[in-house]
Amino acid sequence: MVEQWVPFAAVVGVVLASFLFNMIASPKLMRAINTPVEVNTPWRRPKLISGKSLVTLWFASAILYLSTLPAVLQIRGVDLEVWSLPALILLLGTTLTASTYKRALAQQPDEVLDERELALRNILYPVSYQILGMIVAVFTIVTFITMFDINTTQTLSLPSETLVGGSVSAVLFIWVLPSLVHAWRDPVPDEVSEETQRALKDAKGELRREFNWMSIEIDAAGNEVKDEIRNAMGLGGTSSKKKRNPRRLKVAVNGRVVRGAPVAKKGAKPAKKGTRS
Amino acid sequence: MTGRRPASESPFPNRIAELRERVKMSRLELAELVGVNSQTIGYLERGEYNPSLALAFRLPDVFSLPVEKIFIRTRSRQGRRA
Repeated sequence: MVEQWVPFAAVVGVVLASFLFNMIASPKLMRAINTPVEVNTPWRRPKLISGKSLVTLWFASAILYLSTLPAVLQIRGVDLEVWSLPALILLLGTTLTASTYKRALAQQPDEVLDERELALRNILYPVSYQILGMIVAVFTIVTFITMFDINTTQTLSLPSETLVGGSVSAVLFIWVLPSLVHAWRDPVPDEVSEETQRALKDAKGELRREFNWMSIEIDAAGNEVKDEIRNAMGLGGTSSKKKRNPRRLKVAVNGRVVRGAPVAKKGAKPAKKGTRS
Repeated sequence: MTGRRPASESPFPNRIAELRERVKMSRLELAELVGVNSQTIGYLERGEYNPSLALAFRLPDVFSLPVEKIFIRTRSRQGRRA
């Protein structure tokens, strides 16, 4: 039973991986292939389409969810209702991601948008209504033709879970449609500001320095414990590792950790001139 | 409106990136001064967005330059001024 779902899961997995790769890689790639300060030079756009991947992922997860609803798709006569919940979670996740695409521009009030964003937002909704209108028209025509051609007197009966699931998907689709249109029309993610880049770099350097100091302190504490154990066992002396490899101070220079001179012990005589420390 | 038209093809190429770099100003700082989002400054610099008149006249105030020093008129392919 599970094997039947492998293609579905594989497709969703590939689209998800593509989306994540685009989200992570595209800002770095854009910075690598462009010099933003050059005046009036065309910006080379990488062929990374995170927005379009997001739209594809949303539709893939919606189809996956709808196909797991009872009486929609049966495999060997068994309704796969158990798969509805993970598929619904995936659909909700992609809906949330799509709705927050580019600062949730499609869902923002006018006050927080500037003139460019306002003009863009005012385009997204008419386009969404056009798409919705076309879908409704096609659905109505197909339903009408099917009923006319087949001339069936049977009414289509679906389980209530399927109707609820279909309604949930339709509501989510209507709600997220402007964001999907935005993601499709403008698929390249926002640039990271210089301030954020600098803050991230500083935070990385700070974290690295903290870890270095922590590792030094842990090493020192470990050596002290070893010495105490040796003393307690009556062996005396210091650990051989400490003798061979005197503790050197790690210093972070421009974000790179370098090893400095050995730390002089208190009361130790200064080294003679001309001799290596 | 936010098409993929590069700056060199824009009817009004601009020197915002050059001037901003000259005064060591970040996009965020410039955006706050003219009252737009920092992403919009990026769109302007890349020539992917033509600003409104109000914004086009607010930008030169920041650099203390006349508007024609920031936005450059180019001849269109038909030989007429855009």
